Amino acid sequence: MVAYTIRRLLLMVALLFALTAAVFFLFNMLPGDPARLTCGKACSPSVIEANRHRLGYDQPILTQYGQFLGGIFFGRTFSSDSPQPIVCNAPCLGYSYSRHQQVLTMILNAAPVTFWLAVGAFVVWISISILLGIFAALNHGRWPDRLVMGISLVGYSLPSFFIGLLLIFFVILKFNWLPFPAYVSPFVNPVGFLKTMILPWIVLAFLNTAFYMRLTRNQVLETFHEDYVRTARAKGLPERTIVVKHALRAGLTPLVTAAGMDLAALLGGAVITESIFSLPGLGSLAVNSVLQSDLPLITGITLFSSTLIIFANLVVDLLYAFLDPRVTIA
Amino acid sequence: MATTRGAQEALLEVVDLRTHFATADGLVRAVDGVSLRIRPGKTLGVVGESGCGKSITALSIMRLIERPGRIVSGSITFDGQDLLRLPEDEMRNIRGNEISMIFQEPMTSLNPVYTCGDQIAEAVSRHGSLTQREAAARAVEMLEQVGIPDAKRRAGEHPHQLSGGMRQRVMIAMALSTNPQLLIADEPTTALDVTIQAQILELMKALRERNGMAIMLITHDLGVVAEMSDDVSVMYAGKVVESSDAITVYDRPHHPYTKGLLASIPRMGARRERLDVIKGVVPNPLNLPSGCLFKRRCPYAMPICDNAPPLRLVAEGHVSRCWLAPDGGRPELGEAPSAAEAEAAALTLTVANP
Ligand SMILES: Nc1ncnc2c1ncn2[C@@H]1O[C@H](COP(=O)(O)OP(=O)(O)OP(=O)(O)O)[C@@H](O)[C@H]1O
Ligand code: SF4
Ligand SMILES: [Mg+2]
Repeated sequence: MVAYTIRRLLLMVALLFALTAAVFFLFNMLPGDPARLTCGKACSPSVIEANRHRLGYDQPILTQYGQFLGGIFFGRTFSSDSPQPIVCNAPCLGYSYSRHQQVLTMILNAAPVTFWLAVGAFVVWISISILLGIFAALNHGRWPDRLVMGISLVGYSLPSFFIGLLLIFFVILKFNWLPFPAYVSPFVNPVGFLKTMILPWIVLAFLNTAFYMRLTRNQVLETFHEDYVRTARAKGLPERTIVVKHALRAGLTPLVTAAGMDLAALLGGAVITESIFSLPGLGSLAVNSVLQSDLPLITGITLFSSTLIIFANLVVDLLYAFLDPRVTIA
Repeated sequence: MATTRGAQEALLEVVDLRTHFATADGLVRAVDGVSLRIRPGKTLGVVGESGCGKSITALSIMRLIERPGRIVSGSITFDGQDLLRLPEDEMRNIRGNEISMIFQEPMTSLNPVYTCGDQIAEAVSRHGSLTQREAAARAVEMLEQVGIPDAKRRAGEHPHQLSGGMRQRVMIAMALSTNPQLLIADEPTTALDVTIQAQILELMKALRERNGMAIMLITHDLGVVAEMSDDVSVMYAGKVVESSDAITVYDRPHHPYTKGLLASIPRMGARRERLDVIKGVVPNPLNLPSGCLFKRRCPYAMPICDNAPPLRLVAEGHVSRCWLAPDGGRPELGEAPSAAEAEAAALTLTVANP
């Protein structure tokens, strides 16, 4: 297991290298002139050319890539020949000239918002899905099952922006039950934090709940007919132990796998939900970076999110082997 | 435990059990009139072709029938109490404790995500007051008892690391870990290799000797029954068609179906092919013939067989569901007993040998 993990980690590093290259070259081939973005309204051909040189955009692309990689490992300095050089310490993901901020700083500022959004929604959707999924499975074919499955079908078909707008309209604008969302850190103002996050959590959890409820129900129903569940019954175990310890636990693996990947994807930014509720998370940051063609920022966010996903993949694989003893990894 | 009861008294008595399945295609009468009697410490062999309702009978006794199945009538008396009237939580105290069951499918009957030791310990702690550690020690002790080498290590292994025979031993260890009075063994060896089969049967014999428990041994192999059983009940299409002590059933079978089964056993020395297989097929449970269910395959079938025969006493402790005279000859016309007589015969399922 240890050897496997080390091998996977090495592989992960190699993958990230390939990824940086792909992301870097791909985005640099996009039309648009990065040097143009540095001066906004004050741009004149001579300013653009000067900036191009200062930022190194006049260098060959391979050199630029080398500088980018070097920045990640050793840090780098932008505009070194100007009066105010910009020092960017390792790991330097670049410098955004449209915002005049280091890319890493911007990501690290946005990440906690996304983190709380994702984790909160995760807790909501996992607990509700598992409870309702088991409830539906235990009442298989009867009306509680049909009701739960019906709701899940509705959940499937409603797009999250629609639910989000609906909630904003009624809960915030019409009935004033909650203030308009304005993100504060839970450590600064826990009540304000909860008031802001509760609706985004609901919206984000909604779609996933529909899916995970179904998954839980189907897994429990499937394992319910397994011979070992009958064995558990024949031991005289109480029904709760049979359902949770034997049926659910044995069918848990696909659930954990899916949940791990979904959580990782959310940690990389929930674009729609963040935009609807104006949460300054990674999703909003990504949207803005694209709208402004902010190349260093796009590259940085893409790398950050991909790293999360690659890492989640590893964690999920390890969990898989841990949850299902039949899976051997070596 | 068994000493408090007279030897002739039944530990388990099933009377006219009916378990039906309401399927989309119609009502399947999987068990439709099964009466059995198991004496304390003795082994009853239950034989019959595939699909005759052996497993459903066993699961009914455990009250483990799932929808769309339902026990519609009959009584199951175990140790003086009617199991069908017990509340579910009291039944749970009997399951795995006083009555244990091992299943036909050793490969899939253990939960893949828990170790063998844990699964045995779970049964032990459910029905006793042992600590976790004591239960775990008991699990290892049980694995030793069922002849698993290196039991301590095996207890920490998951089911997929064990062969089918080993898994069935684990199931037996689990079933016996609570010292049950009755072990229901549903074809415990069918899924195993011949040599392993013999080993498991030997093991069950040894454990029966040691623990003094009664066994309901379900099988479609009359050879296995001959080796293990004190009494035999033969089932056909959801009904018991013949019951007696093992020697009587082998030496003087009455029902034509039992005769057919006996003739189809490949004998030692004879060429290994079935000589006298019963012709025809088991009737479709959704479309049972009227009258005797065996009549389409029966070489003795006669006009009276269009009426369903009751379970009749043909000798002391020997009942058969067939119109043939007790000596196996053609019955005199009009010799058919009345319904009341038939019922009385069915209820006097007394067994001759001590
Ligand atoms: N869940 C179910 N739904 C409908 N019919 C069922 C169900 N379970 C069992 N049956 C029917 O009940 C009858 C008896 O089944 P049972 O499993 O008791 O047979 P068996 O004697 O144990 O056979 P085998 O030797 O193959 O194990 C069969 O005809 C089967 O079709
Ligand atoms: S009742 Fe008739 S058909 Fe049925 S077994 Fe006896 S002789 Fe055969
Ligand atoms: Mg069976």
